[in-house]
Amino acid sequence: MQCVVPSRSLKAFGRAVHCCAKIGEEIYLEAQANQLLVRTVSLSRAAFACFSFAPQFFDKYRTMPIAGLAVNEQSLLKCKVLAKSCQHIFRSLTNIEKTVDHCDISLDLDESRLVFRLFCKHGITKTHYLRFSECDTLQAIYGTEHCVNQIACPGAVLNDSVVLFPVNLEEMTISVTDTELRLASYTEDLVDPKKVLHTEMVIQKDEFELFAIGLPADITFCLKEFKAILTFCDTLNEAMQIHFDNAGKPIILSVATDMFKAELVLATLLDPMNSSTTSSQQVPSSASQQQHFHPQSTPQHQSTPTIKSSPKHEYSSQQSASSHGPTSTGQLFGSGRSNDSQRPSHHTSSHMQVDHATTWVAPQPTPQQSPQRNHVAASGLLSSAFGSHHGADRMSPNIMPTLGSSIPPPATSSSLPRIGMQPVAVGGGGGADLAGEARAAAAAGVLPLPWTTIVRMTSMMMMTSILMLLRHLER
Amino acid sequence: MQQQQQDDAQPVPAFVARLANARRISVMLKSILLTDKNAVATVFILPGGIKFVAEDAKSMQANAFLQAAIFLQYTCPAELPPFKIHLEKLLDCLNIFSSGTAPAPAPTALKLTYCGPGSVLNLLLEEGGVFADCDLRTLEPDDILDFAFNSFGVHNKLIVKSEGMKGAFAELDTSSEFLEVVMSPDEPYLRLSTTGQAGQVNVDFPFDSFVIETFECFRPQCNRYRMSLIAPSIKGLAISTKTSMRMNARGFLSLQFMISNEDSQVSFVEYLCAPEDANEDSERDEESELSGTDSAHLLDGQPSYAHHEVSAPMEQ
Repeated sequence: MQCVVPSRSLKAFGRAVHCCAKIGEEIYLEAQANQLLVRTVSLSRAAFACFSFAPQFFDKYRTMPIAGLAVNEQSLLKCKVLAKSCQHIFRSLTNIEKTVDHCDISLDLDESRLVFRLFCKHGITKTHYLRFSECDTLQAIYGTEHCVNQIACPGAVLNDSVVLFPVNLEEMTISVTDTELRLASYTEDLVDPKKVLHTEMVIQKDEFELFAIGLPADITFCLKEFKAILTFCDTLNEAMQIHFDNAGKPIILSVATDMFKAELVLATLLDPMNSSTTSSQQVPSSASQQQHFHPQSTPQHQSTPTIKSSPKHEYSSQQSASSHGPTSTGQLFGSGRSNDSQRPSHHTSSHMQVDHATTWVAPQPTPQQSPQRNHVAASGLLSSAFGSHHGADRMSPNIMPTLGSSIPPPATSSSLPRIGMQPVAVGGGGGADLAGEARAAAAAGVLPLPWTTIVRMTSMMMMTSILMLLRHLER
Repeated sequence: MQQQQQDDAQPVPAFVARLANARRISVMLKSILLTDKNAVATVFILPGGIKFVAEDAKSMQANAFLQAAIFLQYTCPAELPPFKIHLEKLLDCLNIFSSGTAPAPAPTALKLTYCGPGSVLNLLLEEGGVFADCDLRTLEPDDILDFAFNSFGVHNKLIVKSEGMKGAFAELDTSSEFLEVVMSPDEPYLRLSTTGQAGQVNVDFPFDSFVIETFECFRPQCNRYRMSLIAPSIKGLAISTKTSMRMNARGFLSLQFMISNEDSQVSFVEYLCAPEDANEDSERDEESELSGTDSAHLLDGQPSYAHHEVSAPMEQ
């Protein structure tokens, strides 16, 4: 394979490489008979970019036959290289435009290297040898024909708007109606809206060359890749086409000229309304579980094996959503997880361990949610672990949930070893034995039953001693 | 301007120099400031000019020479014994009026005074009527390496315009550990290459390139140099107009940068770098060979060049 990129095309090629480097870690090159494909996919597989360059983009474009391959595969060359090293070659594009006459890209099969040879002025030659690796064709499955919404605009319109958003903003929402397009910063439910800068921008449909909205929609996607393609578009002064549907369907941004085509496909977040209903569902589920405690015991026991394993994970990313867990453990351990209480579902005060167990069980089958919720999960598991074993015996709401040092102590001591002491250590820094638990519980600010009796006894003793003293004084 | 007017106890200074713009010195000294925090430089005050020498890891030497001609006044009746000075502190003093890299609105006048061994180096700077009087302690000098570059045959040398070299060095992969320099009478004439994570980068200069002014190469030579030692020379390259690259028979590289200023006066900054040689025994032989030739500035009893250790410069 050999192609020569002339000076006039170097800017576009370099920009394409930069764009790919911002999106993914590796650049997949594929030389087909009628085009050169430069593709990349982000690590999370949420963004896919594909740049295809027509033969007229190059001064010379030749795909050499490779001995041993079938005739119809002869013109195919597939390899992937590190995006960073490719970007290093086209690092200073202004310099390249000024000094480089043309760039020769060829494949050195003997040494397994991809060779970029930049011929600069004054006869200086800069050669970059990049190691490549074999790969399969990278292709995302998408189509623009089915998209109900389509927008066309010069790259500058959106690029200038996006620049106004905070630099470290991760996700952005685009809401379209018949008359306008609204760009808004997207923050997850977890974060307190009052503590985050929220930016919104509205663009009227007149700014766009084409604004065909079939169905008003709100879509949320990653901003970093979006910015990358916008920069590409803007620096080359090309118009951009955007095709999208509704939330959950990918958004496709494309640029097309005679010489090259660029397409970026971004995955969009599922409708945010859906995710909030899942969490709110957990609240009623716990309430309902209270009444159905006994039937739940079976599933609890079924879940025991999983509970056992949970201590090993401790802060692992087991999901979800045991929204009530944190509240209870917050009370249990008295610290640390209090920040979880920001979540709205916490106020369903489940000081009943029963609830913890049941609510933990309920969310378990739900699909995994965002990893930010993992800290919630671990604590929920711990509390539920104890709850499942103490069960019906401890229905008294007056007793603050404990780590098992409450009635009946023998039962708890027998159950705890099965669970494992690590959770105790994890939560409140307690020891690995019953006494340690009591300490932990005490440290957490929870009074175990024996202590209250001791207090009572002590107070009674004091009272009797005072009475005796008084009698003595009377005499 | 004798110091005696101000302080009767002060002896007659052995050296006085006045410079219209302190920036010249500071720019040159910055280019030989190596990365070591406690960078010191040995100062040689000669009748012909001042020479600052800095070293790194006993494998690399950078020196800056300011000729007497660029000074407004240069009084140095006799060669003075060398002394050592903290380079970073000296630069701080020279840049006392300037803020960072912004060019000073008015030139800072400088007067250097030195009374002899043991005394301080006095700098008197003036900008816009504001004076700064700095006294820098001088230290006992260490023996500096004498690379004896010219003693061994210099087979290959070339003079190239710095703009060509700047582009070449910018292209090289600074994350690479070594820089390989190939000079040969046939292709590829002059090649600089680095091998980094991604692969290899080569920059080739043809001998008839416009940027190459002279190219004399009699023997093909290929040597590797540690990138960490070469990196400071990029600073000198950035401010220079012409570069001279020479390689001697032992593979030592000498990069000389010619810096010219508005008055079309020139100063030179030179970097000498020892090659990276896998064969340590041959280095020891060379070391003993070296000790035989010139006894004045040698490090006696140094077992090897210790290319692979970054040894701290010999302190007092």
